[in-house]
Amino acid sequence: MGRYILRRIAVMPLILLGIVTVAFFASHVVGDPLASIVGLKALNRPEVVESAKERWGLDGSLFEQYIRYLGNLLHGDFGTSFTTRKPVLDDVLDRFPATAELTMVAMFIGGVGGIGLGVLAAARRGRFADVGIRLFALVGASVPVFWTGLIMLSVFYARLGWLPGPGRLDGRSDPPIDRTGLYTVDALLQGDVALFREAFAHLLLPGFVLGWALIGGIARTVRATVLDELHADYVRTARAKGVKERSVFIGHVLRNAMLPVLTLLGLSFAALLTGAALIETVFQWNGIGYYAVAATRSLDFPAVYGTAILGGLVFLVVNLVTDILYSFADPKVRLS
Amino acid sequence: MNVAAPVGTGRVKRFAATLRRPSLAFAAVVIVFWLLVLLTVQWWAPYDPFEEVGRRLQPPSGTYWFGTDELGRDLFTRVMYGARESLPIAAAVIVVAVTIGTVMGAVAGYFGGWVDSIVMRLADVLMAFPALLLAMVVSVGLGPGPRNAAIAVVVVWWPGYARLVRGQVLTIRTREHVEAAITIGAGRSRVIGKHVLPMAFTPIMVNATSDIGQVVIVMSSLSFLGLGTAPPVPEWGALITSGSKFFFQWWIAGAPGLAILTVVVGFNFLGDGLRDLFDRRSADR
Amino acid sequence: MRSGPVLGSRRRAARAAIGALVAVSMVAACGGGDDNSGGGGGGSSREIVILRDTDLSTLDPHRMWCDTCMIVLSGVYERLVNVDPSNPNNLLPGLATSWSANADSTEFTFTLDPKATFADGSPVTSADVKWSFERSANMNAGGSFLLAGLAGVDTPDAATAVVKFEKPNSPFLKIAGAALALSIANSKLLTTEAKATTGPGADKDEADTWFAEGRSAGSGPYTITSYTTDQSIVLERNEKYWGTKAPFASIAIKEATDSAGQLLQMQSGDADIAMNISFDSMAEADTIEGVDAVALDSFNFIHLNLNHYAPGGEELADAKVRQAIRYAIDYDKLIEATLAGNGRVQATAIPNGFPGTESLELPARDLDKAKQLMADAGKADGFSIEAQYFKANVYGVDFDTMMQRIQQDLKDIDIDLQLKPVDGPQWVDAMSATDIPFTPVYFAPDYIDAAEYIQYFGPVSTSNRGFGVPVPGATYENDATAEATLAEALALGDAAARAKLYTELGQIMIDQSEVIALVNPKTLFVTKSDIPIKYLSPCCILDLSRLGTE
Repeated sequence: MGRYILRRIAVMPLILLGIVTVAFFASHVVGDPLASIVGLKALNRPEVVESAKERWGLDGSLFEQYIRYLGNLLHGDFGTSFTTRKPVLDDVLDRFPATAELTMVAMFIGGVGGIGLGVLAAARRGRFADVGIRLFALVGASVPVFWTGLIMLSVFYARLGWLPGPGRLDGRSDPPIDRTGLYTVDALLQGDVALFREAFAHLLLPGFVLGWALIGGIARTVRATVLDELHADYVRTARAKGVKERSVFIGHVLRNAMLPVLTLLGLSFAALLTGAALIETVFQWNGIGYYAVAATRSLDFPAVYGTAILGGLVFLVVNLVTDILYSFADPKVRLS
Repeated sequence: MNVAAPVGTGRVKRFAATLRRPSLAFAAVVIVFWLLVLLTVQWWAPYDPFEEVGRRLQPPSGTYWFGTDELGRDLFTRVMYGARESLPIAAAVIVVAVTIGTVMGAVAGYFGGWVDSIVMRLADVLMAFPALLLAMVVSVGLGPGPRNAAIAVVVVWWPGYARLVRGQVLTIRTREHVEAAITIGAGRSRVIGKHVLPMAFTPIMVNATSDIGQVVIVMSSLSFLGLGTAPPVPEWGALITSGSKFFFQWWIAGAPGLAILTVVVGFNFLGDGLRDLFDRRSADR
Repeated sequence: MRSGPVLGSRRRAARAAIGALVAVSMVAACGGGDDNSGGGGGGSSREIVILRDTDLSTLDPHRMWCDTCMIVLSGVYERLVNVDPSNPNNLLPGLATSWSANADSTEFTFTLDPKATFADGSPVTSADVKWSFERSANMNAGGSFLLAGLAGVDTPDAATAVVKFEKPNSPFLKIAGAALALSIANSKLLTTEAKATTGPGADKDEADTWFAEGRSAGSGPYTITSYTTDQSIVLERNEKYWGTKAPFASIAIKEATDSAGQLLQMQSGDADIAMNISFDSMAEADTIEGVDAVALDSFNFIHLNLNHYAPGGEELADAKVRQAIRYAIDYDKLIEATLAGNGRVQATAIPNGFPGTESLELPARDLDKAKQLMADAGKADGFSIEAQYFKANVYGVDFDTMMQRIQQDLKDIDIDLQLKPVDGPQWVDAMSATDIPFTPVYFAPDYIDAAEYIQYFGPVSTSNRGFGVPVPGATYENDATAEATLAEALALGDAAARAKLYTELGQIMIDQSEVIALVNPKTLFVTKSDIPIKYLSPCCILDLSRLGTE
């Protein structure tokens, strides 16, 4: 297994190189970011354009730029964003906690809600609760998240005023002192319970919308596996031997049902880091996804590559980790 | 579970049983409804989808069933016309992605070796690339517009089918009749076309059906980010986007979202139904 | 003249301001020295929150070029003179207590206020004026053209600056009141700390990275203490301000674009001023207790560029076709659909209210005339043309909505407009390659004199009609009468006589219809009732230095 893991890790840089290459050449097909750097009026002055090109690394042929970018990347230099005029790595790391915080809440809602509802639906198979749960789960996964976000905002924020609106904090609040970048955690670390509640309340709507979208897949998988397992031979045997129903359920059925859920959660986590872009746009949430969307639209190439690399890296690592966890959870699975 | 069921009649029975399920009935109704709408809307829509027909931003009423939008156009008409924009393009995306994915996957699986390596590493790269970002990069690179957005979604989507097909091919290749065909000297393309692909067909079709709904969602997301259809075309994602500017006029964004919901649920149910029909194990649940 | 593209990243995410601590300590360090300059007493501890679309991309005062930039500059930096908000034709003292021009309007002499100091306590001298103007002129940035033709700045003594131009430049006294490009910055601080340079090649200095940390170098009543791209910028009271201390402890400008969010924050008291509420929500805003919604007249306008020199623009080559388009547009409907009626039509690309515009005929829909013009031009059957545009919301006007309205109107004269909305950089890119024949652009004045508009839009040699970069090899057809009239106006000291010439020039621009003014939108301010806003500031949209003092 050790060799397998090493091999998987060894392939990662190659895949990341592939991602950079795809991002680089796809984004260069049309469009010239110079316009947004030097401004329209200066574009007809060759000397201004030349100096800007040089300063922002846009001089030379496309291939030269590509090689230069890769060279810098090897030294850990992700370039400087055209729009924030700060190093991309700083930008990305600055925004990472916001997305991580949102993702964790969404995963919690999706995971706990999905498993709970899946088990409940299996237990009440064919009855009203089963149908209700399956419909609820299905709807969450069948609408665009940005639409759910808009409707939820319009109902719970604009109409009813029960929950706060876009952003991570209320308008007048200052963020807590930066320790982890997670506002809820930082607020608690400085003992500010009111600020914690505010930050937490801001997480609820976007977290729920993303979580609801996850519940669909998870509840469905859990329900199916639980039903499958309940009829498996080993369960019958255990029952026949007089093992208590509850311990059969928890010890065997649920445990086996967790395996596919683990994979789903892992993939969701990776997908959410950049996939939250839509919900971050709706909720003006200053995370990676929001950054990626803005970067793509303003042709901020270094920022686009930076987020693509980060997204790819997280995807690969999470995939590997779930596979490893999988092999621990289920000895039948051999990594090879 | 029903190991004892005779093989011949099992499928027929299952088919009958599947059809009676409410979810499949719903799917049939929804899909037929939207198909009828997209084919006939021009004959019965109450208004012109592009003309100003009343005061702007009116809530739903007897005259304007879904209300009016920011330019005083009838939203019901626009949502119905939206089917013509959203559905054919989603279907086209799936057809193209399935075709590319099948060819790539079959070639990779059948030939193995370096061909397999190249195709599958490319698929790995595209699958590790954050999906929405990839779609955005490609469609920004090509320029906005529905055709380029569709191309972007195809780029994101085909690797999944390639993997699926490759897996199927690897399994099927080792079966006796295929090996026999190879031994008696059947040409490669003949083996792939006559023996391998037909067997891989079922899982592809099941997946493709459910995926149509997902493609509708992704295409509307690209529209939301401003990379899809240009106004005044009433594509559903674009309708939601213009509704998002009018927070208190919830109906503008509401109706097209519900249209997407019915389509996605419909194709989901249809995909499930197909899976149950072909996959005995899942049908028993 | 911020036409269009101040395009950095709109709506860019950023972690909320944590750099604040760092920045505060920096400013404190810059301040250095004795702290007994009489501060303290003035002003409350009230913290103001302003909500708007923060379109800032840099804090370097000589690189800045955007609407939020003007607002920030108004609080942090000062100008030699101030334009009187109640009468834009009147000048008030700024850093200069008196000013004069020579006979042919080529030399302008300013006497600086000896009390004036920067936020770090050092005096404002003529050397700072020279350094700032030369840096702006050499910056090749958005506002550099405001100082085009600058021959030099003489500094006979620390309190006297003589600004010289190569050619007559009668509007310069008004230009000197512009916030963008003409703000005076602390030259010593910027040369030593920010490594800013002033000579040719100033555009290559990297001072903007020094500013990016949330710093400033001005003499105004506030200083910048924190900045997060596209998220927020915080100004704090300059306790050492040389004039009357600011009434507020701090002013934070925060990114907000959706109307409902801003309304709710006004309601909950989380914000004091909201600037990006749509006119559709104006009535709702006004019902909130203790909150006022006022729509003020502005000098902003949105216009259509009909660039017949661009590829694909051949159908527009005949002025009759362009005039037909002008008559085919239903301006009332357009203003109703985009601004809920809160806007005015405008004769041509010179703002309503500018001297010389009063007697120009305002456009109105006349379909028969439009059809006749199309027939006269031999285009009775119409044609199809692509309209690429920046999908933005500018001055409250949603471009998607506006372009769909125009598309409907032009159908009536059989012009099939194909809409192609794009993001900012793509649009600027296309503009700069001059391959858009038909596109809407937005415009806000930098100083109150019509000359700028004729030089920029009119059929004269300095102008590119607002089309962007001229097509390589294309020569614009200029109008000899217009050319001569403009030169005459520029050398005229008498404002009334100038205005008469501007009217003649305006009529020529209407006849040409290369640029069609669509709407002059009002600007909506939703404010706490105790912070009234009476005027749209001519220099700065919202003049922070006057906020709470009127």
